[in-house]
Amino acid sequence: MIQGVGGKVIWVDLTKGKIEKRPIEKKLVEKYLLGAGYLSKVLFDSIPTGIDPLSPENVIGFATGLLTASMFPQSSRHVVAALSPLTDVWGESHAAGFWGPELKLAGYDAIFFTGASLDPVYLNINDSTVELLSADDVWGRDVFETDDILRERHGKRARLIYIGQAGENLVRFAAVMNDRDRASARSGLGAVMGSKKLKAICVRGTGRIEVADPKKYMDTMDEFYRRMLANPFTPGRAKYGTTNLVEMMQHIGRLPSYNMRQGVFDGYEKISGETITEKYLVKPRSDWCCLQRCARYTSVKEGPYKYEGGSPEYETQSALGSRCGNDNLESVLFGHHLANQYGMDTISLGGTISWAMEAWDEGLLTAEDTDGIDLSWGNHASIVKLIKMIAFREGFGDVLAEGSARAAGKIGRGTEKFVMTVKKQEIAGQEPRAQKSMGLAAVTAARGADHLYAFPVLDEAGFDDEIKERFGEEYLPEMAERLNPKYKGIMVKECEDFMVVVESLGLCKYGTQIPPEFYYEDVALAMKVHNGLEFTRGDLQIIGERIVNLNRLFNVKRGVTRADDNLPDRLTKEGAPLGPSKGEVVELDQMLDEYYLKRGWDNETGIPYASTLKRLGLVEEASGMEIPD
Amino acid sequence: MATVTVKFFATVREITGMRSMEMDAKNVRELLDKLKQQFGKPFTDVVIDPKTDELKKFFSCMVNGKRIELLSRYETELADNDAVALFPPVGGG
Ligand code: SF4
Repeated sequence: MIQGVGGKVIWVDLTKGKIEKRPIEKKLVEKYLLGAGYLSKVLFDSIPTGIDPLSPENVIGFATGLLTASMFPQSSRHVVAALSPLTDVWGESHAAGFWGPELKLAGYDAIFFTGASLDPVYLNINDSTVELLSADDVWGRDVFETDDILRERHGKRARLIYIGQAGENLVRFAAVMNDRDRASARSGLGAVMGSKKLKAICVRGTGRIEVADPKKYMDTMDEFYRRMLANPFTPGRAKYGTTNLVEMMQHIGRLPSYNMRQGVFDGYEKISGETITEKYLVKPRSDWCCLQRCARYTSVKEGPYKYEGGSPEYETQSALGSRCGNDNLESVLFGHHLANQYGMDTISLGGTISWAMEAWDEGLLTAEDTDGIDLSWGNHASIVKLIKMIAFREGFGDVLAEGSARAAGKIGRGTEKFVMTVKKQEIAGQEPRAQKSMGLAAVTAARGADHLYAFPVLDEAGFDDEIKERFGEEYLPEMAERLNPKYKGIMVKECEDFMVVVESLGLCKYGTQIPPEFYYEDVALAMKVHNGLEFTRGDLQIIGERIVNLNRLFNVKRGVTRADDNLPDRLTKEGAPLGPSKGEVVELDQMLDEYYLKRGWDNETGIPYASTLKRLGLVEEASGMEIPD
Repeated sequence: MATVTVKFFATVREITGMRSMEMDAKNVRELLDKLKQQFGKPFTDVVIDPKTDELKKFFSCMVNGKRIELLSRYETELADNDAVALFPPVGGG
């Protein structure tokens, strides 16, 4: 028996309105853990190939990790996954908050939804009671209204996941929201919920979590708390969250600006975290059991952008700010608030709007295309207007709601070359010419352009000691140099393996990857005292590799090869035009060669070798596929 | 001796009370010594590791966007108009 988990999985057939509870399979957990790994396996087996991601055949899963709701610092997370309507490949997204812990306290580790309902519904979980209820009165409402209404009905202590109008309207980058302003934003999974007419999952759990070894558990967690609090990162993170990254990224030329034409932005000080903290901060906040406390509330007191609510993080500052040439901070704050209200991924939102702005700047889009909206760089009123038009698919907003790759496909006229995506998902806030590892990570991530699947931050400011500890001294100094492509294939591979383990445990990347405080040995110890599961560092590394390879097989089955692991030409062929990384390009081929070699994947096709799959116990999963020897 | 612009970020800026300042120094070590003198104990307590008398773990110093570890560390020579940045632990995405 596994301890420290809910112990049950819920399967909901939305077409038939049928709910089934199944026990969690220990064998599966031993091979894939919970969270991201568990979803990877179950959805690999249950999502057919050749389907439309917005059809009832898609299956969407929600899962907590093995350590979610434990006392491990930052153990608040849950994962959502399905076939992505944005990328047409593996879609996965994570969020922190309180929903995951609440689900576990109700006695469940995962929920899967198959089919589609004819009428809007939500799933209500109150400990052992699990029921589908009509969502007629909340369908059409935004995230905050839905939260208010359902908590009024089910109690203030209920925790919710939901979609806003963007998900209902099948915006391809709609987010799954939770706890009002937390978002599983990437991959467009909100649209999958929308396609199934699933508005929300409301959870109230009053159970207990039994841990395997209470005495050792308390001692271990006590030590982990002390370590986390003593880490030099902790005070700054608690004060600024990630918002103070803007100034640092500007300084190393890694702040995407003007649709990634460049990595520096003249107006960076106006949108910086220091300015947010000084002028707009209401108070910091945190998720379950978090000592890093990167979240915060902000407000704009007056004017057209008046609001009070969640604060943007670095990604949104760059997406709606520098990326759109926009130095009006109040519009960035308000735009972020609107994206939460309607439920959209701010990275793809800003990436799509900035694509349109560059096309406008180049004279390839005109007022005739945009319903008369002026798309000049930095026109913040237009940005804010477009956010609502996208969520409701009004006019030009309907074109943009498809994401920049599809929008460019529709418009044509050479606008395609301004699309900054990988596998149709917009590249996040890391101008990769200024940090090569991020360029590689964006192309190898299973869910399309993504900084978090590997989150290779060890070379950002150059953590030599941690690189020495985690990889070995022989990789220094090159691995720690952000502009040097050497050893980045090795780094990204190892970081991916560790990060998928972290996402399978329900832990935050803050505390595991940056600051790099807890590593394999620490999480193995936590799993022993919390779950009663014995794993060595080597075991966990194999599990990480297995999950990454299974995600790859999911994509290979849908036609992905090396040709898809590619960046826009701008980033690989045109030198950064200015700033501290001037003249740099991403040496993608060199890094990919090293990555495939380290992974045991065929260098030409990017498909795992049969020997790799055999070593990882994935032979059966690959049956029927063309696998290189 | 070179005249350089030193930029301060986040929690370091809170101590110095300014975004940036001009300073004269021949290398990074001398620059840090001058900063210690000018901003005293609050600066030293937060930024300097008493065991090594160098920057604390995860603090970083960059000259024109390059980490000093990739140059000549604390002996990195400074030239007129160099931009020196002093970061507290910051990173992520
Ligand atoms: S560090 Fe931030 S995202 Fe992570 S658990 Fe804490 S508040 Fe949430």
